[in-house]
Amino acid sequence: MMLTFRTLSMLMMLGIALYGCGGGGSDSASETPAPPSAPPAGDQGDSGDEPTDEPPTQNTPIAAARLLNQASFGATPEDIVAVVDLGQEAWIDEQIDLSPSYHMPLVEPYADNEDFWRSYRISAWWHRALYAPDQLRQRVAFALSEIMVVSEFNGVLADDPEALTAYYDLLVEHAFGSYRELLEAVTLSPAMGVYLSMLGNEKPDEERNIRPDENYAREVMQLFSIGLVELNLDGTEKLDAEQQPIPSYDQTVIKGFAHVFTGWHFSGTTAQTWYRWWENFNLFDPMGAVDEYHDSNEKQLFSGVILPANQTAEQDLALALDALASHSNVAPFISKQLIQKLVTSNPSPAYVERIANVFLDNGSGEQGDLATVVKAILLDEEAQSGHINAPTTFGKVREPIIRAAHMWRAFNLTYVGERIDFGWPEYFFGQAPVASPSVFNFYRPDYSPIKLESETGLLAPELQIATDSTMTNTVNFFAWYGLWRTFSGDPSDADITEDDDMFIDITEEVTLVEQDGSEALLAHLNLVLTAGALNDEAIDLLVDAYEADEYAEPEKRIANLIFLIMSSPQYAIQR
Amino acid sequence: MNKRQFLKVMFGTSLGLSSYSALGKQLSLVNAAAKSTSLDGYKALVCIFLYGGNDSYNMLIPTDINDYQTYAGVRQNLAIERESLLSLNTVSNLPYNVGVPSYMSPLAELFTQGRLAFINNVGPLVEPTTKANIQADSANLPPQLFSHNDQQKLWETSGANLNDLAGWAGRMADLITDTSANTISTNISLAGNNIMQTGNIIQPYSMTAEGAPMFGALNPEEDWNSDRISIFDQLIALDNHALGNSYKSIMNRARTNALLVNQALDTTPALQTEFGTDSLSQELAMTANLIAARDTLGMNRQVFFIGFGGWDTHDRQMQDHPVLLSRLSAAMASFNSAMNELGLSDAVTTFTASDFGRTLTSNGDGTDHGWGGHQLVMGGAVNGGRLFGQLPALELNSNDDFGDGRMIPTTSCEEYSAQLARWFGLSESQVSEIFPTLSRFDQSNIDFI
Repeated sequence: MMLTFRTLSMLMMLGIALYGCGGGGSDSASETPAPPSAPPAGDQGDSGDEPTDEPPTQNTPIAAARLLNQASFGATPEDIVAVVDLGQEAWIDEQIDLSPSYHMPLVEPYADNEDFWRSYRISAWWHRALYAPDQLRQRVAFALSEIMVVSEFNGVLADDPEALTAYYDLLVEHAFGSYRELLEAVTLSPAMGVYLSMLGNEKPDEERNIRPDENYAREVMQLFSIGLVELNLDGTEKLDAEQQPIPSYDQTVIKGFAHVFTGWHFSGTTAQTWYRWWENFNLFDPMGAVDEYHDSNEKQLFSGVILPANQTAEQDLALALDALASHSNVAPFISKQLIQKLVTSNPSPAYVERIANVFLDNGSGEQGDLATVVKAILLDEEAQSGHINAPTTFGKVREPIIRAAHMWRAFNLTYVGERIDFGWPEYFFGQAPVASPSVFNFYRPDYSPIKLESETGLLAPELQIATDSTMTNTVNFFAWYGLWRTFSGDPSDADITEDDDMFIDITEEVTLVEQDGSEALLAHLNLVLTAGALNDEAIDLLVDAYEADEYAEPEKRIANLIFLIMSSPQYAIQR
Repeated sequence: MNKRQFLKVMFGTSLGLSSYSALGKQLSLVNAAAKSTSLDGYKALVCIFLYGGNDSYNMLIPTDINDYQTYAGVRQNLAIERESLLSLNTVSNLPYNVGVPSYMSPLAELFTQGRLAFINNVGPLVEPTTKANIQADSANLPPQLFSHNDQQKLWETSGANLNDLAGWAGRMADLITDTSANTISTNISLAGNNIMQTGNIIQPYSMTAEGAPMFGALNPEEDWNSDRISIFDQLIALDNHALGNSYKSIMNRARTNALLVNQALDTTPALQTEFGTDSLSQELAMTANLIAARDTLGMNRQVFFIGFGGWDTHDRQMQDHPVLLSRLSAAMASFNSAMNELGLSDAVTTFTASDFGRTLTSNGDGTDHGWGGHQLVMGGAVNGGRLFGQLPALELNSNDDFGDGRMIPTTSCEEYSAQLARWFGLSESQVSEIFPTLSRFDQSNIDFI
């Protein structure tokens, strides 16, 4: 461990020098040659094997830390070494190939506990965010959980942490699969069926003025697939002759889809048991079709798409999801949101278009291949060099819960007890996994504080949850769980007296500062936490602060620096 | 985090009581500024936003047998039993008599006392709109009808343009706030960021029912933080990222406001009125406490925003909707008592807003997104005991029905909000400035306050 760490210390000095000079070329000083970058799919659908003019991705510690902040729950010294060692593309490929770490195995053992509640599924989420080897998959699953939203805030799901875990695992499973298959899995998930009331939705009963439920029909279009208005491939809105946006669908289309989504209930339900839901109650297996409750009339979807009469529920569903997945909006709508969740809140239209093209064709003629889309997002030239080309606008506000995970990853969380007992994250962060106030997630992808939007036109979606209270509480988290909860050396020396107390371990940082001094410490923190976003003045300021506090123990002084950096905009804005 | 830890965290936020001299100086400046405005006395507006879309056609229900049968025929298994309705005796000239479900009895009582009014069939409109216009394709309809976030936005801006960035209470605060006064925002949110209170200049200050948390390690009242605060301020000044600047401004606003708010709350005697333990009640209790602290804070005009979610009753409506209305009724009644206790009943007006009304037709066990819906307004200044605006016909395919029982609004959000702004003390020219297309509407039968 120590050898790796020292190697890293040397690498990061190098990385900071490169960051300062603007990068752009290959890293000639690196021991391993930089691998060729993934060629972005060209407009003509170039084969993935052809050489391109794109500069190769950098193979520096800074570039590695930037990638890890975009592609994991935060950079760690070990992962930076791994990325530098492998190169970015190979690291991504390796991540994609790792087998999924599901959450249910961490939840199920507790299901019979008397105090079984949401804290157990949140523990599993922390555990995977901090320790899962398949970080990229976990990070993409979390992004998907904020696009295809199911929430605990529902009369049925609130009492069922396992059902919510099963839904999350479905996102983990499909994170690198095809979008069309993901859409179907989400649509037939019983948790989604309960949340957006497709489960039990039945064909019209005109005598009783009962018509199909429009809930899922509306939100699957508005939020999970195509959005409200027609989009160009680059994510910008199409405009009509009066320069107005063009709605993607109208009430007729919603009614069409509402009729499609009739006849589905808990797995195993029959016409006889349709209303006796408790006989089939099952929040794990995909919903099953009951054709007696499915509307068999012709259904009009988008212009040109008409589903013929007398199809089964399954046939209608398959054609309707095909129509959604092949709508021209899907590629820019989903691609842009994934870019926003991982890399930058304000991607250029050209960036969105490059990714949308990959969405349309992964190079093998397949559409909606999420693994290739994610890889292209991360290796795109804008992701690679946005911090240099647009240093004051590129990037995104890190989600507060991801900031917390980063602290615990970077400084090895140490806790007593058998699981991470931190079950109410929204108190500090204004967010928690699968617990959005509504299907509209904690924040909208087009949110911006009014002054930012009116003065710069930029979006900052994650700031929708940055209220005065959550801003304060998030900073307090870094005080209560960082600044004032550190230890170094032997964990038994730490003041761990309660079952659920949590500490960060800064033994390595203490060793580093004792051996190499405070400048090396700052270089290390600047790499691991901010991927080089602290400028020379900021580093000098913090070095001076460290040196000025000469009577305090190194551990306290290091903890103070970690707190200051993690509370600062230099850290909070991932760039 | 378990409960014990949670409490530890909560108490960790309470403010040490020391060194208020600088604060006192600020407050006397504030008071001087307040006296110089033309807005006399104290007034507050309290918005309760019913997130999701309240099915208000199960809130005001026909009571006479023929009218009730029309209602019940349309609503089928969602109809509330006639025997359980509490009649609202009203002098208004209505197409049918109405009552409210029994679980709204606290509000029925306030209606009888003249403290509560209903405003019928309100919703976003670009211009007065009829079914004939719509059928002739000559109606200018609001964008993205029936979509939650878009219709919330139109309510909160009380306009018809989704590109507007500022809400009506934010624009109002921009006009009336003395920005030289060093105090908290005119607009206080207990529901986080919202458009209604967002102005081009004035931003809402967000708190929670628990109060305003203090920065533990950046609290200037603790001497041992002073070096850290100094370094932190120098550090954040070295960043010039555009998103970072927004982050800094929220942080700096939180740092100053929390001090002011906590000092005022700590020195204000607790109210005797009891509130429920649900979050709506607790947020109204905090609102009442902040109103009680108005003089210490130097406020003479305030707008509070409270979010109450769960109204998107696509399913389980018969189980969920009564609980929501019952909670709303109890919480509003407690708040009314608290304002009586403060002697501010005439100075504080509480009103509801919601994404939209819902379909009169059922989808089996719930309703879908509609358009117009009824709203509640409560307070001593309200012309209570009456219904304002037109009650829509409840037959399907009537001239009020856009389709499936989605009601075409007969009063616009703009008329509704403008009337509240007038009461708040804005001049007609200020009202026109905030609501630029108000003159398209006849504004008759809108004198609810």
